[in-house]
Amino acid sequence: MKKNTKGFTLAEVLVAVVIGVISVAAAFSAYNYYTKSYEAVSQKANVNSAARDALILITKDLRNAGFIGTSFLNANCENNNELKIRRELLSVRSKGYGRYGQGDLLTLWFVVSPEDRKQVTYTLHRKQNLNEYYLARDVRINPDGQNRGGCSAYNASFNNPVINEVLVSHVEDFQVILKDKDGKVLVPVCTASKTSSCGAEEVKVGNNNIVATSYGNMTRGQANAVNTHSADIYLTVRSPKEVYNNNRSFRIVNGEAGYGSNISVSADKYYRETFFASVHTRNLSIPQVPTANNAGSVGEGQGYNK
Amino acid sequence: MVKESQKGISVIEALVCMVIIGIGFVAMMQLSAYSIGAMDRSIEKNKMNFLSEMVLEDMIGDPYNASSYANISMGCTYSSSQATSLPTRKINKWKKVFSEDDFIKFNSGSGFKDKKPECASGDQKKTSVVSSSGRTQAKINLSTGKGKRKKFLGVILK
Repeated sequence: MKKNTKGFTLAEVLVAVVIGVISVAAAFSAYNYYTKSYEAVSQKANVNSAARDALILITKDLRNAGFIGTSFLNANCENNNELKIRRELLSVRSKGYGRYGQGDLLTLWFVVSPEDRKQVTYTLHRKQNLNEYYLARDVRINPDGQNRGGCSAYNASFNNPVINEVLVSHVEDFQVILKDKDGKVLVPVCTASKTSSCGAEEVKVGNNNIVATSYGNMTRGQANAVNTHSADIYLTVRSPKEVYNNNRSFRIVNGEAGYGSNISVSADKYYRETFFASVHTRNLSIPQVPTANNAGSVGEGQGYNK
Repeated sequence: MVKESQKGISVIEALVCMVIIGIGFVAMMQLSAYSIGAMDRSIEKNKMNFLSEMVLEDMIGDPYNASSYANISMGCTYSSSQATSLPTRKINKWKKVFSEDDFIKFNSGSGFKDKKPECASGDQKKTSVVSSSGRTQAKINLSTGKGKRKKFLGVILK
């Protein structure tokens, strides 16, 4: 029986090999390209998702900040006038936090009753042993532990933080710009009279630390706190992994001229994005609504937070 | 002589086979590219949603000047006007934020330039305010994807 000895010719094998190599190279190149694209878009999506989630939380807290419990006036301390407590409900300390030392510290208070308060702070914390910062939300119950306005001192056993929450990693900048009812920037806004928690700009306002307002004498920071109408939040986040093929140098410019940040970032391959939210601080301004001390009717034009 | 049952495939057959597989491969790559693009568009749309909430939030904070915020049209570039009141300051801010003016600047080799958001001719952000029967409603209309994708978001101000 005759055996079949015919196979491929050399030319056929060479053509097949060339086509095979081209196909594999094309497939590899396309796979590589799409994997990189997918990685870049995933990084972008993760940064967006984390930052937006954080902004939703900050927005919610700012809208609710200044909440005063309905039982507030029932107790005879911190006084019978809620205006006195209203100046103590919001604070922004500027330029001292984060990788580039220009981030802000936002402190909000919620007053359930004269004896019980919740304090929420947002600021940038450093990751241990790394030059990376994350935005943290710290919640404390009655953190002061001192006598305030005739109320007994808060119990030290309630002095511990109850929540330390990491909101977003790899944060490069966090700015909070507060504005009054005319849209003008308010600086400083600092609720406490202690220099340690107010920042240097709060302590010295010209030669005068105290300003007279129609609600009594206040520090300028306190007077600004009760005039806060809205807050602009800027949050700049970078991707955890490198995204670009080539090094790029960046500049981060958040906030209003003279009141925000201006950061030069040395060249690298990371993706960066700034996220923005604007919040109407409904509870913080002095309301034109009937209260125990300010009874009367509300007409149009005297709307809440005007 | 080669028997019929012992014949292999010819080069022509192999080439046809490879072309068919290649078309399938290209189709898969197209699908992958489309899905990556869809993710990117989704991020942009999400950003627009949040920014439209910013516009409405600003109007909620100033309900008695609602008419000052009507028919504001914002395109792809930022041009500030003189701000003397709350509405003009807010509107300037919207324009600035929508065009991401000043947020992130990158070195293009010949100085720092703004990192602009995706914005094509036909993309628009426009506000409208309607008052009737003592009720005032505000709406923002967002057009993206060269005006193809439209979104409306509205709220009752007072």
